[in-house]
This record gives sequence, C-alpha cells and structure tokens, in this order.
Amino acid sequence: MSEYPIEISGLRKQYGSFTALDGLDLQVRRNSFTGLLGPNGAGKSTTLKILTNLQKATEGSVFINGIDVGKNPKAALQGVGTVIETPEYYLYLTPIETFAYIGELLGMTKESISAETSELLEKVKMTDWADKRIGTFSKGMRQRISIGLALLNSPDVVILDEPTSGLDPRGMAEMRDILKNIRNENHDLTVFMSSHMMYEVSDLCDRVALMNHGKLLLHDDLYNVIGDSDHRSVIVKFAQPPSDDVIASVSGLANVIGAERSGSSMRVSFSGGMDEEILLFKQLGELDIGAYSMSESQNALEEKYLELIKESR
Amino acid sequence: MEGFADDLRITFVVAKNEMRKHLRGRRIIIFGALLAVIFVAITAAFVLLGDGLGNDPEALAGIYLAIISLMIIIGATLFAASSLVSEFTERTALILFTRPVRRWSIFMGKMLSSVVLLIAFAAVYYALVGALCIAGPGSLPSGFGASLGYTACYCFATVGIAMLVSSLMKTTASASILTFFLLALLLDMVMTIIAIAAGLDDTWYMLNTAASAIVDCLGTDITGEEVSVDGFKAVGTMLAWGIVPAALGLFRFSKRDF
Repeated sequence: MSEYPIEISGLRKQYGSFTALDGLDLQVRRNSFTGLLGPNGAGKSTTLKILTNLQKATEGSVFINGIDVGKNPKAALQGVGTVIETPEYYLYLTPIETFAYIGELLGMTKESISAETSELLEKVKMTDWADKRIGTFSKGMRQRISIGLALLNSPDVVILDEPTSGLDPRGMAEMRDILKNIRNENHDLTVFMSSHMMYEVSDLCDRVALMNHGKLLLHDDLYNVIGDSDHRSVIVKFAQPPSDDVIASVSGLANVIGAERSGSSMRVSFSGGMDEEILLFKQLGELDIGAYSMSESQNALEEKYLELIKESR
Repeated sequence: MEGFADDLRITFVVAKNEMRKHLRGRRIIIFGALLAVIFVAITAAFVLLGDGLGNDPEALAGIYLAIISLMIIIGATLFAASSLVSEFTERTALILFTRPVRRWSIFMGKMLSSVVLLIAFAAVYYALVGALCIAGPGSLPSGFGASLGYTACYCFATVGIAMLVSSLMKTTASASILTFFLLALLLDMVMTIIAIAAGLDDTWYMLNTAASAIVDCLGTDITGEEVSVDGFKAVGTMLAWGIVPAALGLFRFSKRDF
C-alpha cells in the first residue's frame, strides 16, 4: 500500500486561454488530514473536481490508491467519499432513501446500508430527520447529510471541497465539530480538504498545501508551516485582562520576543520551535498569572499564507 | 460482482431511482391525465355523435391510435428530455458522478426508465382501446399486438433522441422545448427538405414515416385506405433512430465536465 493514497502529477487544466492548473504536483500522505489552501481562482476546486471525475484534465494525471482516475474512474473512486461544493440532493428522497440509493450504487448489502445509515445519521446529528424529504432541509442540514454520505461504506479517502462554504456561523461550527470527530475517530482515514478559512485549516488539519495560479507553493506539516519563520505566536487567554505587570513578566520569559494585550487575551511572540513552545507553556503555569489557555495563533498561518501568495504574484 | 455485470447492476439501480423520481413527480400525473382526457374525449365523441363504437375494430382502434405518436413525443419530452441535463442544473451530479459509477450506467439507467415508463403508459392505453374494441365491435383488431410493438419501438426512438438533446443542452427548459419541436416538427421538416433536394419519393427512412406503421399495421391508414407495412423496415428504422442519437448522446455525456 502506497504511503500516498492521492498522487497528482503534472496536472494541467485549460479553459480556453485561462490556465486553471499549471503542472500541479502533489502527494497526500496516508492517514493525514490535509488542507488545500489558496485564493479564489487558485485551482483548488478544479483539482478536486478532476480527482473526483467531475472534470477531465488537459494534461497530467491523478491517482487514487495507485489507480489513474482519468483512465479508470470507477476503480479509482472505490473507497473514496466526496463532498464537492454544496451538492443538491434528489429532493423527492429522504436521507434514509438517499443513503440506500448511494449504498446500492456502491454494491452494499441492505443490512450493511441499514446499519451504517443509522450510525452515520447519528454521527452527523440528523437522526430526527431521517425520514423527511430532503427538499425541506436547510443548507447546513444538507451539508451534514453530505458528510454522512461521504463516510458511507467506510472509505479510506475522503475529499472535501470547502465543506463549510455558505453555512451560517452555527452551521460552520457544527460542521467543524463533525469533522473533528471524524478525524479523532478514524485513524485509517485520509482527508483532503480545500478551504478558504485559515482557522478551519489550522483547527482541523495536520498537513497544509498552499496553491496559487494553479501551482503548488508549499506542502508540509502544519506545525512546520507555522513554524517556518523567525518567530511563532501563541494566544494566551486570561479570566481578566492582563495587567501591565503581567505583560512585563511574560515579555521577560526565555525566548519571548514580545507580548501584547488584546482584551482578556495576550499575543505572545517567541523564537524557536515545539520545544520552546513547551517551555513557554510550562513557564506561564509557573508564573501563576491567571492564564487558563494557550493556543497557536491563527494569524501565524494567515501570515505565512499571505506572504507566499504575495511572492507568487 | 465485477466489470460489466456490476455496471449492469448499477444501470438497474439508477433506473429504479429514476422510476421512483417519475412516480413521485408531477409530470407523470400530467401525462396520465392528458392520456385519460384524450381517451375520454374520443369515446365521448363516439357516444355524442350517436354512431356508437361501430362494427369495425380496425377503424375504431385506428382512431384511438392516431394520437399515440404525439402522446409519445410529449412523454419523451416530459420524462427523458431533462433526465441528463437536470443532473448538471440541479447539481445532483455532485452526488452521483463522484461515486464509482460509469457514466454509461447512468445514461442507460435513465434511458431505460423513460422507455419502460412510456411503454407502460402505451400498454395501458392499448388495453383500454382493446377493451373498447371487444365491448363494441366484439373483437380485437388484426395487427393490434404488432401496433403495440411498433409503438414500443417509437418510444425507444423518441427517448434516444431526447437523451441526445439532454446531453447537449445547458438547461432543462431548452432541452424540453428542443426535444418536443425536434420530434414533432423539425426532424420531419429537415428530412423532407433533404428528400426533395435528393429527389427521393420514398421517405421510409424518416422516423415519422416509420412510425405510421403504428396505425397502418391495422390494415387501413387514418383516411381509411388500405395500406401494407414493411414491418422489418419500420422496426429497423425506428431502432436506428433510437440507437444512433443515444450513442451520440452517451459519447457527449461521457465527456461532459461539471
């Protein structure tokens, strides 16, 4: 079994004179949760559409589990779950009937369809709506059905194209929770997800691929991407806004470059990698200054993203 | 299950779902109501004009069946013309095309369901006409079964053409309008112009000429004149009109990007 269930090689897609993909090469690591980031028009959706046989490549090839999608899409898409954009459903079907239809297409038995449908609807919190026609559902509910459907028949690869796009804040948060649970419960699952949202990627993904103008700019572990600069930032939260003394104490800690207050939080910049971050975490505890949480600054990924996008123009 | 057998299994799964879509939709009610209205209107005309159902089963059936080709054109427009294009316009392709399913299985499943549905409607209509022939003149017309066979071939041909249109068009409305006018008018006009230009008298190769076998096989045409039918030529022509456009439609559908 290859270490890379998704392999993209020299991929080009031309729409008339517009080049959407320009020789894209990318290998997605097995059992990773890889985020594909890029601005509008970068080629993210086109890449995922070629991967899922919705579009044909002008040049190059994409492989899923070693099978060329362009040459044998049926074999390549076995064991792959997909959510591309916000799909619409057959509005005359209920979720149970939709799962049964797709399950039958996948060649599942009636018993396994029934068992998995109950489990997946529970997972995406749609059990109460299982026998209602999808035509009456909100966008968020339909997207939850999409995620459940993508997990039908226990795929080993899941491809998600902006799964929270178009959802309201509550819908986004629910979707992220569902995706987190999927990540935490399925250790033999490779997820390849495109997104616009830095927060989403830094919250869910362990690997990041950045692309622009149809080309790959960077592909690495999230931690390395965030850490691949002179300094790193973390957000420390307090019950009360930190005083000037607290700011001064934190600023004086080893490796800390600076600390600035933002409401009841503090943004701490420091030099170094994971070891230095662990040390900082320990020192903050020892200071006993009322800090109750410390997390990676979302801005770190955003800064890196903007820096790379700017360079690629 | 592997290979072709699995593709065939998937074709039937798609066909079953398409059938369910039709059965739960409004179009089937509209089409059924239209057929019922026509049947009742013709029967009422017989009763109101005072001649009753007469003694000639061929003449009686001929009147009812004269309308069947137009009804099949309407049926093909309602059930087949939007079947492929709606996957793109309604974005359900994002669910269906991203599964391990070959496009030809999807195409054949959708075509199969439309053909079966149209033939089922035609069979019910023929059963009603047959019942009237037995109730009135006292027997089924000669060639009645053959007529149903020709009608089935015509269903196949019209659905094949509708599938080609559906694979080409970008909206369901344009696919439906083009299918109807193509089958009811444009195809005949174009083929007639070609026949005149080529100096051909016999237009056997035209779909609607072949479809006239539906009534002609009863022994008389709608004007009451005796006619004979070359069954093989009529069936071959109608099947060709179904197969060639369907093959072109399948080719286009297989290559179509979302």
